[in-house]
Amino acid sequence: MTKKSNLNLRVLLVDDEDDLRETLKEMLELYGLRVEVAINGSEAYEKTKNHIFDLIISDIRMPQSTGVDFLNKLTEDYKKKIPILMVSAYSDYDENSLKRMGARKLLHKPINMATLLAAIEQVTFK
Amino acid sequence: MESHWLETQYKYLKDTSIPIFLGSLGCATFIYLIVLDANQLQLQNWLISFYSFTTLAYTVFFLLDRFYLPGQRLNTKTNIYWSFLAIVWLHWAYISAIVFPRSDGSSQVFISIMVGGLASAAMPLHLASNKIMRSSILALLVPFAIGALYSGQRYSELLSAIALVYALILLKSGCLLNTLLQSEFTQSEKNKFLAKELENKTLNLISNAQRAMMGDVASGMAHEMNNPLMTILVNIDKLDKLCGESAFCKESAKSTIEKLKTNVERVTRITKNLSYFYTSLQKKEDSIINFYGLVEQIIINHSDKIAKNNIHVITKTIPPYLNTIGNSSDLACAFTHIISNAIDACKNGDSQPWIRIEAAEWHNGIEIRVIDSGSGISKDIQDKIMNPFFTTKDVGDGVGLGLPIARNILHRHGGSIHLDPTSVNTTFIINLPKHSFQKSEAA
Repeated sequence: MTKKSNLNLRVLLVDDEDDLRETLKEMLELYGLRVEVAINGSEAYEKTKNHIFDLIISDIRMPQSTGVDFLNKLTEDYKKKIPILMVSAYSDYDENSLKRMGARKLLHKPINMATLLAAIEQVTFK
Repeated sequence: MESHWLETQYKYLKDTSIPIFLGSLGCATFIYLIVLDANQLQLQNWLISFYSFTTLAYTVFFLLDRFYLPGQRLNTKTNIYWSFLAIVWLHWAYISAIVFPRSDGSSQVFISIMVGGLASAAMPLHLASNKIMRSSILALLVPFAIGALYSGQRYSELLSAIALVYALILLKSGCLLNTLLQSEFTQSEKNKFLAKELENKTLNLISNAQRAMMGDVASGMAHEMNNPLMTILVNIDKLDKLCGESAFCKESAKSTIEKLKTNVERVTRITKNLSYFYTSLQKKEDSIINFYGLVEQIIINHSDKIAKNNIHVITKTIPPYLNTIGNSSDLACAFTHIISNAIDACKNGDSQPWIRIEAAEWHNGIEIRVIDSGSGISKDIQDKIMNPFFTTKDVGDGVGLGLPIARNILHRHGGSIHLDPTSVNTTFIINLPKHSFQKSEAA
């Protein structure tokens, strides 16, 4: 992914790690995406009420409210419309069970930008 | 236990078939000469027919045993059936030898002898004998007794009576001995089998516990490292991007970024393998997997490496119908590790490297052999190859978790993996349970 992608998507990025969240936000913006951030599941859920997104990238293990809680709160309709990309540093969830909950894909941390952008293109491809 | 029993029976059948053959030949010739008062020509006819039928029977039996599907062992049950058939043929040959040279229209004699012969041919198997020799002599004597009675030669009644009495004694002692020997034999075999099983289970239990503990510690560490690692990776990407867009960024800075990338990716590979080492111990969703398809997919995935090193991959002995049950991605991962090890092993070996993957049904499971043209694994490190972090590859090439991951996955699927220490080339023997459609439908 050396060429600049012009994805022009509205993205909600959910992660509790400050450094990672901020760097990712910056990088995604460099690639032309518009990024909103949230630090846990419940904050992310609030944001989905007031904002329109084309894509959600969410961590799973977060304090207070996890990515799975967030996934469960969203309606089936919403999950069908908006692709959700789950990212986790842990291996306690497998992709199939998350897919049944409505996520489109699971990525295991650590991943570089090329992998992340490829996955974004894959789940948002219509 | 059933297959174990069959295997033992088969062994005895094989060991005793030659003495049966020779014994019955000698015995029959003797009887024929003395009792039936045969002339030279009849004897010749008799010998020819006897030889042709028995030779045919034994040729089929041994050909099937030795050469059918080279490199694979026949299903043991099939072997038993074929051996049984061979014995039936042997008796039929014997009967025909007596009757054909004397065919004077006495079909009654022929039929009674044939029935007797066939019935007695079934005896070795019926008795499930580990003294098959005894049963076979018995089987030969019964039709002889009947034949002698009908033949109307001199002393025929006497000989027939002697043969019958001897046959009865044999039957009685054979049955008695059989029961005794068999119960004793199976008991001691069973004990040995159970002791071995217990030892294996205990060892497994200990190493499983050790592995689980180590897995917990290692994967806990690995998982905690994943978040900071990703932050580093994304920041390196950011540096790279900024540097690429800036005219002031020096060449040396770019090479530093590359070095950073390579090394972080190396750490990443280690943590990913460690996490996988842990998850390979956990139970996951199962499905039916066709083994041939699984291997083909792995070979396609490695086609670059295979073509680059000019490796000849032989998979033609894998039967297309072999199915196993398990988690497809896990099993694919296990075999990927095993096959890619084989690729690595033979790429620095001889000029015509090859990998042969064989699979066959064996008892209630599948036995898979992955053999490469590499020079094998030296004796002093054979015990260590399954230890986590043990590697013979160059620094940075391997983490030393491939085989432990494969072993964990195979164990979880009720299978096993071990190195064949007797083989010249590196040979890994993998066992997996077989999935048969009938069984699942019945359940």
